[in-house]
Amino acid sequence: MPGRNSHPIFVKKMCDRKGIIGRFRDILSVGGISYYIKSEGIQTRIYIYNYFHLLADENFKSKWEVNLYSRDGKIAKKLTGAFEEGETVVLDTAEISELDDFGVIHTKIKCAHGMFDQPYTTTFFNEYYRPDSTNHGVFAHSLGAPAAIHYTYNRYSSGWSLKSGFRPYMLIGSGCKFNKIGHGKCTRANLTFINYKKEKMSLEMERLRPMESRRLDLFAILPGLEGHLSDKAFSIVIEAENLLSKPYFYQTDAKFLMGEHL
Amino acid sequence: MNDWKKILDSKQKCVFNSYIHLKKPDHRTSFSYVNENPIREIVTAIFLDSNGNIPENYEPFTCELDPGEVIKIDAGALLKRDNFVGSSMLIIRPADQNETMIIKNKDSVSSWSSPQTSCEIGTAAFPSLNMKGVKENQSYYMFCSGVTSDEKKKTQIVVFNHSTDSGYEDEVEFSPKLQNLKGKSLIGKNLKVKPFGVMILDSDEVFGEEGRNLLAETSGRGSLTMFHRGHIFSSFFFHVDRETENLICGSHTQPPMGVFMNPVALQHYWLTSIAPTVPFSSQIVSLLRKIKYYGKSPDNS
Repeated sequence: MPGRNSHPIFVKKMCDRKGIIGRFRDILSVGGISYYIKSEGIQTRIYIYNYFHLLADENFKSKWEVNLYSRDGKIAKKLTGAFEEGETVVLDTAEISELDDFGVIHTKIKCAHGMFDQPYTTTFFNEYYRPDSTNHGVFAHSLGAPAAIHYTYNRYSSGWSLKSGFRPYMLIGSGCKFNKIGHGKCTRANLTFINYKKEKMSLEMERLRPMESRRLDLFAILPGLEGHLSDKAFSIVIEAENLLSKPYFYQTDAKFLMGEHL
Repeated sequence: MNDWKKILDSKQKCVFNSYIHLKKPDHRTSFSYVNENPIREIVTAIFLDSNGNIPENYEPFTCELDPGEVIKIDAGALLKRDNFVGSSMLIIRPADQNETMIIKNKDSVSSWSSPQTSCEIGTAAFPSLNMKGVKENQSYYMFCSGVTSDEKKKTQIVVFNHSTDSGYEDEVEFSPKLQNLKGKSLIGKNLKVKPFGVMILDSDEVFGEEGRNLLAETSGRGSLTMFHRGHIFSSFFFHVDRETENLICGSHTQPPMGVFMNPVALQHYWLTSIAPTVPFSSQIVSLLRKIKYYGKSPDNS
């Protein structure tokens, strides 16, 4: 029975399914994605909160599942569990040895209480941190989910600026969920950096297969980018196909760390 | 002092909400924005104290941007002070209201830095916020799962009671709830925020020693939730260095009801569920589409 402070639309989305259909109540979760980093002194914490408990204002049973992909699009580690009430699960890449240097986090919170009348995604947060430093880190919220569909992705993201002495990186991945057998490198992306003088600098990323990801060392790939961007605000334009929405832009000087999704 | 609200009556406008954190002389807060529209835009930076008032001696900064032009607004330099905590409303409108301003995909990045730390949050623009006749049916369910409290760090949640309605006068109230990792909870005291004000919730101050002990049971970590009916708000959360009050890292919160609203993955749910396990699934889908649209013109398919 939903509590007094439950979300009215959330309550309407609950439906009573018994029998065979009710057994599959958790399959409608498509999850949400972000990226992990486990290299160059950076680790990632993943925070998963049972927010169905908040929306229902009652002890709402849910399960969680985390698939951590390596850069080649294979699942490097799968973790699962069940929430108790308003529980928060914190996973730390420092404690998971099987992982790549970076890759995609695909997290699903699955309703185990009743059933929703539609599929749903997942929201979670992750924190990039340096174990040797307590006062530097970055928080990121999760984004959409990969899908078995081919689509065009265009994004104009503005207001960025480079911190002096920092090196910028972009985590970028394929959002295609088709089976890899018989499927080629369907993901492509063209990145353009527009500086305050409206001058452009572009790069065409190597093509990716489903769920593959890359960490682009932008200064190494685009010599001259540092001078092009200077310390003024700039824009990033992405024209892509089947790109995992959205890429993550971060910059570091081996001590500080800052970043944000596009 | 409320003359600035007339800007909100502009037919076309959008607003970015953000937080100003100038607690120490070496703290810096700035907001970056690029006019990606093909028309000239006017940018007005409204800075407000926690009660929603324009600070003394601050004249709202206004400038015009050409298409493609960028601006980085330094809050401390404009306020001419180094001890201010409050909020900002960056109001963007076309220089000529007869020209169409595209609001979709407008971004602004807020940065908070000190000699020891750097933190930034990107936000999207609100074309309208807490408008009469709309807000009454809206609700705010907020969760922050990254609450931490230890010897060095604490957590701060910032909620903006802003509106794009020039006549907005609603004082709002929240009842925050702190939970440790195991879900054991503690209800905090009710907190009120004045119109155009900002609530800066310090988990230590609101939940006190009892809250710290609750989090200490699960290694100083937990979640904080709030709900409210009748308005919506944007909100940020930060990890704060206890000694220097530097903002270490942060993010904007995400509405949990958003999980029912993501169109791409949800529209293709069944295909996305089955295709990853079936070899040659993309070819099968392509073939089925060809059969389905066989003989039909591209316009019909």
